[in-house]
Amino acid sequence: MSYETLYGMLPGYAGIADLTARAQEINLALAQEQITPDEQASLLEDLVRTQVIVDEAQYHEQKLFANQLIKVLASLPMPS
Amino acid sequence: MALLKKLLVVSSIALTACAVKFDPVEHSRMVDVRHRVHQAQTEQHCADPKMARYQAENLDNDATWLLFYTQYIPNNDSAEKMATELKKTTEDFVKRYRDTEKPPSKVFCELRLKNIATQIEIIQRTNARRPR
Repeated sequence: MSYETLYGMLPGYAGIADLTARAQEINLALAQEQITPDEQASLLEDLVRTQVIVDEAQYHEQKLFANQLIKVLASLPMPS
Repeated sequence: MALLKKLLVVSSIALTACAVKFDPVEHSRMVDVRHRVHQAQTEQHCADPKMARYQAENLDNDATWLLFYTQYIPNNDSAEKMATELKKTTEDFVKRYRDTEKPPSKVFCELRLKNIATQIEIIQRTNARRPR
């Protein structure tokens, strides 16, 4: 398994969350008076929490990646 | 070189020991949360405050269960941290239906469900990729 193949296995969690688009959607709902300022603040707090989850997921992936990489390196034949 | 290889083998064993294996019980509850959010979204439960409150309470119960389950498992800090964030989101959701005389708006409910859906999807994906 190549380094690129291994690295390609890392999913992009930030893309799933798309926090910028979500923040715009929340702010638009406030502008259109569909939600109150208090509700807007609460929904924006969700995004902060989602960012924490994304960061943790990325950290988890890096650990998995390091694990796989070490296994691959350890399996390589020793040069004579 | 032989020393380096030994070091890699030891590191590999150490990292494998640190990696928590896939847990089908934990995963099952994540699916429950996702399924409940999906059901609330597709059946438009936000349009009915009573139904929305019912779903918010169920979601919070599931998130509490998930948080408790992730705790005290060695090397499971990541899962616990993520479950804590999810729990904060569901807790605020249900609190708004319980505490306020006027229920939250339909749009608030829909946006909150979207946020919960994103959070649980990332948590589930992370869990699913754990080694079997």
